[in-house]
Amino acid sequence: MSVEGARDGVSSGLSDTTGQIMITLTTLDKAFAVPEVPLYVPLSLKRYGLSEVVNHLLATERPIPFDFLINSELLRTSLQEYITQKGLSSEQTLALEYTRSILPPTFLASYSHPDWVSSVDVIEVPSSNAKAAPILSGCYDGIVRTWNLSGSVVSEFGGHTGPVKSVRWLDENKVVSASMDRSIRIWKVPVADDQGDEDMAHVLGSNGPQTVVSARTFTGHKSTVEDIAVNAATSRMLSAGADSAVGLWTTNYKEAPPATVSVSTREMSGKRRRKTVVPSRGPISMMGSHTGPVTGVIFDPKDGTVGYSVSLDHTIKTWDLVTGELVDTRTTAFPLLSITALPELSLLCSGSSARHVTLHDPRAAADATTTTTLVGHTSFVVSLSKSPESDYMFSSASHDGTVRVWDVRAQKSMYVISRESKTADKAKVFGVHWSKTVGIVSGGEDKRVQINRGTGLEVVNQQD
Amino acid sequence: MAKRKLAGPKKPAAKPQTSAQSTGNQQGSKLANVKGRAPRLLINDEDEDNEDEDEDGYIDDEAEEAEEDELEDESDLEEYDGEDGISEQFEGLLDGAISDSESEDNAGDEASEGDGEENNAGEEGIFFGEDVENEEHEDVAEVITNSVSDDDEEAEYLSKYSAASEAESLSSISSDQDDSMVAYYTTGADGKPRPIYHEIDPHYSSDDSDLEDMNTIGNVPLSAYDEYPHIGYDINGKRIMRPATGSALDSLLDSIEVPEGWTGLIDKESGADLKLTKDELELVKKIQLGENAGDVNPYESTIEWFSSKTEIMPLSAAPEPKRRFVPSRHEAKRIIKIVKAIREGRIVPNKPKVRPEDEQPVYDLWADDLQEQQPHVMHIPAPKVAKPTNDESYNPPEEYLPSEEEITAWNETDAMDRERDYLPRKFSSLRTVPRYENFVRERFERSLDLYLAPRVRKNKLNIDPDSLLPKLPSPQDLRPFPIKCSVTYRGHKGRVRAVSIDSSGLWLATGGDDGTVRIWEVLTGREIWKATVGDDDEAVQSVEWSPVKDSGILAASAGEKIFLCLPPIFDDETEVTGQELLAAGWGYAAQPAPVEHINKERQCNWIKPSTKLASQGVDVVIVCRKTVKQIAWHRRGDYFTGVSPDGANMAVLVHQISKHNTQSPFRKSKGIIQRAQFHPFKPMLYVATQRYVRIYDLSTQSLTKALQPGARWLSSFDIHPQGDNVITGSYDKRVTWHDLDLSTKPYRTLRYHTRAVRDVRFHTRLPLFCSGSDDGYINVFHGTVYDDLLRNPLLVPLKVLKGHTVVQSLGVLKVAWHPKEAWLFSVGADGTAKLWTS
Repeated sequence: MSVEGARDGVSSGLSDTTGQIMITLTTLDKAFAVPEVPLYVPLSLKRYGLSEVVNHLLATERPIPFDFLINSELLRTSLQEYITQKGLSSEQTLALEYTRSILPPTFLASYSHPDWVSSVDVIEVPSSNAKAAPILSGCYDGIVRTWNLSGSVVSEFGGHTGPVKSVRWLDENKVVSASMDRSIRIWKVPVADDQGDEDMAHVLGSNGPQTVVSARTFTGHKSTVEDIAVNAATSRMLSAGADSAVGLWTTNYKEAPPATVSVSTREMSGKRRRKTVVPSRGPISMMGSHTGPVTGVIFDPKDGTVGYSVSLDHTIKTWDLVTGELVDTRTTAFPLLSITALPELSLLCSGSSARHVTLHDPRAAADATTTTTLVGHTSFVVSLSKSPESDYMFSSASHDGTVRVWDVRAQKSMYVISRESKTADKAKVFGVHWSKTVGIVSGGEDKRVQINRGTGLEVVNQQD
Repeated sequence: MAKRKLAGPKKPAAKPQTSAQSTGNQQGSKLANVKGRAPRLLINDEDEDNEDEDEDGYIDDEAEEAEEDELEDESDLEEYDGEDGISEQFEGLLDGAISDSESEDNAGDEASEGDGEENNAGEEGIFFGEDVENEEHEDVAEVITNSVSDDDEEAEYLSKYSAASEAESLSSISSDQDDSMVAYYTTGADGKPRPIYHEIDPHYSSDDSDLEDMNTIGNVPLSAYDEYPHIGYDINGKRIMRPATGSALDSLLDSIEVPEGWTGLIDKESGADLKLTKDELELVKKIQLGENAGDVNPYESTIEWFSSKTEIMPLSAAPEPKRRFVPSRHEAKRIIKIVKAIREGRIVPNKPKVRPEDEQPVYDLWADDLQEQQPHVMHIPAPKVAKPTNDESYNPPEEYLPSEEEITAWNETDAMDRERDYLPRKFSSLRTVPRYENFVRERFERSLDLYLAPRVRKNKLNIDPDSLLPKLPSPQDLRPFPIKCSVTYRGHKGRVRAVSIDSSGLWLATGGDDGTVRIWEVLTGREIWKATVGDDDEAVQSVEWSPVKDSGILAASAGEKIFLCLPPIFDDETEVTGQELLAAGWGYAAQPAPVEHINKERQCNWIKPSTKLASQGVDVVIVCRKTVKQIAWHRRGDYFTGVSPDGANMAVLVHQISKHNTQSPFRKSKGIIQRAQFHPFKPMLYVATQRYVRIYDLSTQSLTKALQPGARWLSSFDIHPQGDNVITGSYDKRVTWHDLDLSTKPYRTLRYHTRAVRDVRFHTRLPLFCSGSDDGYINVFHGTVYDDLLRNPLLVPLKVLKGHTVVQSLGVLKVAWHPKEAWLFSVGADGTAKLWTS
């Protein structure tokens, strides 16, 4: 269909609307490019209507949802409301940029745990690998579990004496977990056909989950390890301790420095606690500059020698991991609870206890740049995860029981994922991970890991 | 002045007589004379006016009035002319005697009738002479022609009458002067007629003494002509013939000799005829007339002793008074006043005279008179009486008349309690309405009311109420403060009575009625540790973290016991530190008690916990005698107080961890003690009884101050981290702020709660405080304490936190602030603890 025909069709089909505005449509995605001819569209059109127009112009067989941006800002309202809000005239030409839309994530599955799920992680594995168990969850019962996509526990890692606070995939064969028992443990994932591993795995039963109890233990924090981040390239780990320290560790157990002489070796009343003197290694360095419990830590996605940490003392600190020195400190107004990076935008997203997500530019020259605040949550924002597909999007988990999907170009959240389980009116979500293959995985107070996924993308991907 | 004018009317009154006697030729001249007189009178008036203004300052109006009087007097004179004869007849005998005596003086025998004419003529002559004199004296230029004609007339007139009556008239002028002076008679005080004389014009021309005598005989006695028929010669040398002397009868009657002084009366003493001398007769006549009997002339001419003329030998040689030439200060003052008044507009010069009819105000009868009046400042009108209604009518409609029951009820009620002080009554007509019997009493009472209860002018305050409100900063500017419940800690069964947050802000300890002490992860609300310390479900009354960092000691009280726990949530180092701290005192406890306490029972026993408790993390148990309601740590963490309100003199005990020792600071009971707390940094102990907060200095062991919050029953208090301010909460809903520098009375009393206030708490770092109440609400306030001693603390209510449910009329039982953030923990009777975040 020619452009003129499309214009006729649009104008004839929607001729009953009051006003029209001239738009131009552009896209960065060459596959969906349309001729850059101004169009008249009704002012009442929203995203869906504009998406229809583009689909009409493209003459696609199946409609592809698009999102529209005006001046790098997502259009969340009708065109009429937009120009009213911005004080524009309907006689101006609006330049609309459109991108493929992320479909609203729908509920796929939820995996039940015996206790609160504190943290989740997913490793990207080819979907063809049926035996893979890409989903990792840390639970308040102190056990780390891996799950396959069919919803069964593949392996359990038991050894923490306190609730597990954070879990991460180190690589396909290793997971790392941080716990309230102040220790960090690296576990080797048992492989079904690799049972002959000398000391790491114990297969207890072929039909049940494989339980692993031995691990490489790292100690050094004096209080709960709240968060952990791994960088496979540099074989480094960062840990966030409630003792206001950021720990830098190596994932190579043998390279790790020995742990400081633990007081647990001294005489203690043996009645009160199980004496499991675990051999452990210490951190490369403990970076103590925060004045409050550190709640989140990440590596810079582009540079493995830079780490960021957020703390309840309202600050975001940038660390040079080579020297272990503090590079920069950003102070905000509220205690911060979580952090993630948007590398393409050079932004750090941090979730705060004041129920919002703030965006900071960590670069030193950007001191004066204003931070953006994304408001929508109604309780602590405790976990953030960047979208694997969009540079602008990320998901956030909050104690208000929802996971929200954000686009930094829009002030409001794109989608809200609530908990499927109706056990409690308010089931806090403690952890979220957005995986390309699995979707948005979140775990929380309802003792479940919930998987949500926007299904429309697969169609588009297949079409590509 | 007005009397002087009366001389004028004589002239027109006399005129008709003269004109009647004169010839036609004369008449014409008379008329001309009359015509000429009119302007002269006017001129005369004008002259007099000038005089008047010069002398007395009279104004025109009075001159006009005098003219009117003139006209009236004319008519009076005419009447008198008629009456004159009557009065003469009336007088009778004495009159006759008088006239006889007069006629004796005259040389010739004269007829009495002729007297009048002669008199008239004489008067006329006087009149004309007067006229001439006047004219000559006054305005010569104008009347010169008139005076010439008058002279002519006079000459003719004289020549005409000279033969017959000249001598008579000349002689009678002086004798009849009395009569002619009498204007008319009135009735005197004695009932007799009293003559009223003409006013005498004191003009010198009125005196005719200088009138030239009509001497016809030269310097020869008149008696020399007795034997001749003529009496003299006229100017032409011809004889002037003697007038006729009446008839023979008259001569006969005249010849009958009446003895001199004959009165017809008889002297009672001598029996002879009473004879009066001439002087006596004069006297009688004067007495008859009611005149001054003495020889006094009432009309003596004025001697101008003091005149404008400068005398050569003045009567008084006194120098001229100063007031003649010095400007008068009094006048100057008056002028200043007048000038001021003119400037102020009180006097408007040349103001047109308001006519009387304009001055008369027009009243609107139907207008409300009170509104139009401009009342005096101090005038307060009495309140208006309510207008009468139907039942006050003398003839009210039937439905307004009271029934029998109402009448009896009215009569039975006390006069003070009656709804109205009258009973409607019906009368057939207004005429039958009796006198109002309460009139006097009512008047009296009203007067009494006005006298005893004077009305007072109350000035209305015209102030904008908003301006009176203190200018408080907006709560938006005072952020952060807790606004929202973020975490709810669920797990306790029954009420949660105690809450405490550790110094790192990560671990929340609570204690409840279920006898458990629980520790929660603050952010997630996860219960981390639990210990059941209360025996037999004894409620945990108080839970307090030790202020010592990295010791991890938690003190909890349940029943009569205080448990010192080491929750296994900290790292080994902390745990060992805590264990060492708690275990250090065992050795001291084993030692014997000091001598002074040897006979007394120990207040408390420090014992080791049972195995069950020890496995839960309890390290030390302190057994007291009474239920310990509250624990408060000293800032160093070695001492803490336990308060058992029932403990009498041992209600407050100070426990020392390092020595496992307990001291009782008070020997005597101070009342029921609610709370005790150490000063944030000074060695002072604050103890709250039901009514007072007493401050004891521990170093000197003395009472420093006693605060009086004014509450009946204090529930809690807290000390500002700087130590100079105290807030108290009371069961009578009040929160009071005490500034210790100001007074022992509250600086501010905050009544925001509707139920008893259970706990009040200051934030240790931020200028915040809060109060939890049984109404389930927590009120958060901003409270800035300035270093400047002159500025009073600034208190701003910020937020009411609503979230706790009220269970069995208990709401929020305890609150605690996060050590760093503006976060608030609260526990309530609903079995939950809540975290309120900014």
